[in-house]
Amino acid sequence: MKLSKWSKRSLLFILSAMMACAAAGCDSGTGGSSTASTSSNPSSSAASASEDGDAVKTLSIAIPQNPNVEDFDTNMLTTWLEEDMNVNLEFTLLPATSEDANTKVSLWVSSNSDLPDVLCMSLSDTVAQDYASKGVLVDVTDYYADPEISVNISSSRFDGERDIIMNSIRFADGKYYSLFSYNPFPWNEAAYRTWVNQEWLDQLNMEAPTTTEEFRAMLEAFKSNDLNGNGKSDEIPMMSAKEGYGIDPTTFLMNAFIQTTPGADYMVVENGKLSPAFTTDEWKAGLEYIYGLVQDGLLSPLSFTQDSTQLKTLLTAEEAVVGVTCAGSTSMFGSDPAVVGRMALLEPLTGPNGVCGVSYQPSTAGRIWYITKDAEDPELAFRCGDWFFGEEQSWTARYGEKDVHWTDDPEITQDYLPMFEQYTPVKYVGTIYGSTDIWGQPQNEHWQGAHPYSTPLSEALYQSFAYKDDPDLDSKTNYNTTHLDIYYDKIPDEYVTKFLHDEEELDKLADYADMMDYVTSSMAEFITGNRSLDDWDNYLKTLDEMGLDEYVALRQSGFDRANAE
Amino acid sequence: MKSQSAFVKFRKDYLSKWRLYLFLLVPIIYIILFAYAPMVGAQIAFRDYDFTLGIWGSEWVGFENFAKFFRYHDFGKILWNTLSVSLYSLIASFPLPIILALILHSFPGKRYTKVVQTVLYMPHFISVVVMIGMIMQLFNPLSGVFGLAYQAVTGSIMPDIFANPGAFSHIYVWSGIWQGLGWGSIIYMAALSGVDMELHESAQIDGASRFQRVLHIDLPAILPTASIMLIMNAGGIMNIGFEKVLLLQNDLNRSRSEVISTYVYKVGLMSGGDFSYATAVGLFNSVINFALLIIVNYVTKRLGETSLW
Repeated sequence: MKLSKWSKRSLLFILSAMMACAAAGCDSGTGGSSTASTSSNPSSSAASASEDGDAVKTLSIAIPQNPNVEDFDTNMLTTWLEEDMNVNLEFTLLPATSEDANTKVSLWVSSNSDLPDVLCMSLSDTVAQDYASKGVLVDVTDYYADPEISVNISSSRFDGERDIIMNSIRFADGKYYSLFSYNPFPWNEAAYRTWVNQEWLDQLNMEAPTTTEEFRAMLEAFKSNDLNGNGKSDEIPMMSAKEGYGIDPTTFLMNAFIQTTPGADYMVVENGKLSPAFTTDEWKAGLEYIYGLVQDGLLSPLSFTQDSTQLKTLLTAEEAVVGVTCAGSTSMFGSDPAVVGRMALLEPLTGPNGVCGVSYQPSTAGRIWYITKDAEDPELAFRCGDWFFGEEQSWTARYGEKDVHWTDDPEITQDYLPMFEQYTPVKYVGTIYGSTDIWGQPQNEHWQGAHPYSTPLSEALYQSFAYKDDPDLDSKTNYNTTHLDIYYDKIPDEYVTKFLHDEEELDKLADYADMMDYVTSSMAEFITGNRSLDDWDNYLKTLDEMGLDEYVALRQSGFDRANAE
Repeated sequence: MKSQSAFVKFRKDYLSKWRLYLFLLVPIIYIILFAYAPMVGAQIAFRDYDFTLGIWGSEWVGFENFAKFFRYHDFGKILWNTLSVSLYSLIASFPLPIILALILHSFPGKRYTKVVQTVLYMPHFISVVVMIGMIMQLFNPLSGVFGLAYQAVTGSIMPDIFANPGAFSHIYVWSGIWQGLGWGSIIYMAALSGVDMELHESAQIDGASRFQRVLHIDLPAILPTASIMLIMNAGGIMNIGFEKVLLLQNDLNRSRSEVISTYVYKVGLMSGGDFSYATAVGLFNSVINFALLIIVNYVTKRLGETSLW
């Protein structure tokens, strides 16, 4: 086969074109992971290009996407910060869910690509510790110590609470690698709340239950009466969902048998010693009680398989079908005042042995805003983070624009002050206008709190359910004060604030990653009857084989370290 | 000597037709870049990977990561879950597209066949997340369509299928079949369209019934395609889509729904990123896959003389 000179050339041309395509294709393929990192490069060139004092520096920030923030670039808080600090913020959006965002960052880091200046997100303790010890994060201990740099954080706003804050964001090596978000709110500290349909109780002429026996009797009454009056027996006495804020139905019930908190790995603290609640006889008695409720059709087993959206459809329906539900937030009841209004907070129950506990996790500061090794100007990055801690900035960050969405005008706030004065030392109370709360709504005024900021306890700003011009203030239920009344006096004397582990412990803890999964799975299985309680000894044996003792010992040392001054 | 003469023959062949061989270069480069080069990274399964030291600089720990997986207290369970779900899926979903293709092919009305085909493809284009959302909504005992229908017919509330660990594999497999049936039948339809109509005509003259024609003409025609598909499916047997399992997972069915791929996701990416361990588990998975592929290939070669190599 002989090809003419011409066809040889054209063949070569075609081949080389194909190769070029292949090469280009591979470039765009591998480039995917580095697109985000290249965006931090313009910042350095822009910064070095003009050395004038007025030069606008660029700060690149990686932040998880939020459907309720319309556009980070044009956001009111963004433009305010850019103006004040004379910077240009450049956002790299991460996936919205924290798992996916963490996955993305971990891929950046482990492939050694250039990182944005700031990671404005929370990292798990393990990951943060790992990055800190490998030099991915910048040590900011000195910035904290210098009041010239940490202008707002060093201000008197935080005088009373500085120890709590600094203790909760310190790393095991005693240094600091991040800024923080600190928003203490008693409402969130005992989040496993339970609600009852007050209208049904009224129809039955029943008092709200205080013991597990009365609770059961109430559920039975809910089941056997046609309380929504539609002629069908479609009432579900109690129902919740598998995941969601304060939504787990077992925590509230189990606390009548043994004080327990899911966020603390169900650890009981006694004289500074940790012991797991989920191996005790009290736990078993609690399981038996809840199993009884499920058996008799009082607690719907759907509570362990449906998600919170499915629950919400039932709860927000105009016709009430659910008698008792668990929810950390009233948003589960939607926004129809008639629907929200029929639900009332239920007091923690007292069990057969007189136990009446509340799950409790104190407010701590959370690490957020990590400055990375690739930051051109880490001090600037720190200053920008510190900016959010100004009083007005922080309030705006949570509630929106001043005098539009909230106010500290004494004329208005004086009406609310008396309601809260008895509970906490309040300097003043801001009022948010209930009708215009933009938290959790699509808006472009703040970042939905996904950044460092703080409204410390000394300024405790309670959200009241009053409307701006509502003359009928007293008739509205204020869940915050009720919650303080009935939940707060039952919090345990000793509790887990947080676990602070060093790298070695975190490494070991990774081997027990599925311990808590096993506990919650088994709990659901025992309760729904998928597994008989006769199998209890096997359950204990399996936990033993999984290394429960070592696990508790590791948690103990993390607990001790966090409590050491 | 024989091998050398083969080499000489090859060189002679190559030199005379080098332009044709040049075309092979592009796919070879592609495969090397995207299939072989990344395999170098799989060595972190044998190392204690530390990103500051890089793939080559991390400490070599040999089979430590594999040993850790074998020591894992649930090792047997997740291996069994993986195998049982994928075998079930293979056995249930392999013959159905073939049967569908044969039925559709023997329909006389071509227009009607096209409509049916298109309708059956549709579910293939629904994303997994949306599909699971649909399943959860449809089968909700209180608010779902099936739940309400069950209630209307029997008067009692439908049992919750998501709470039953035994039901997990059925939900997984049959929702997959619903989604992939039409799409999977395309390749068989293509093979069937290549069957010579003269065969059918002569069979008809000989008095063969429609069913006999399907059995003796259509089926043998697609058998080679079917065996290749079987081998390829068997090669992917352990690769259960983890998103779908993860989305269907809850506290009550975890005992049956935890599979190797969800476990890799949990240890590798969710809880801090033990990349070495996750790679080791993934590699173990691939080795089993590879072994299965060889076995099935061998068996089909013996039985039907069709094989991948």
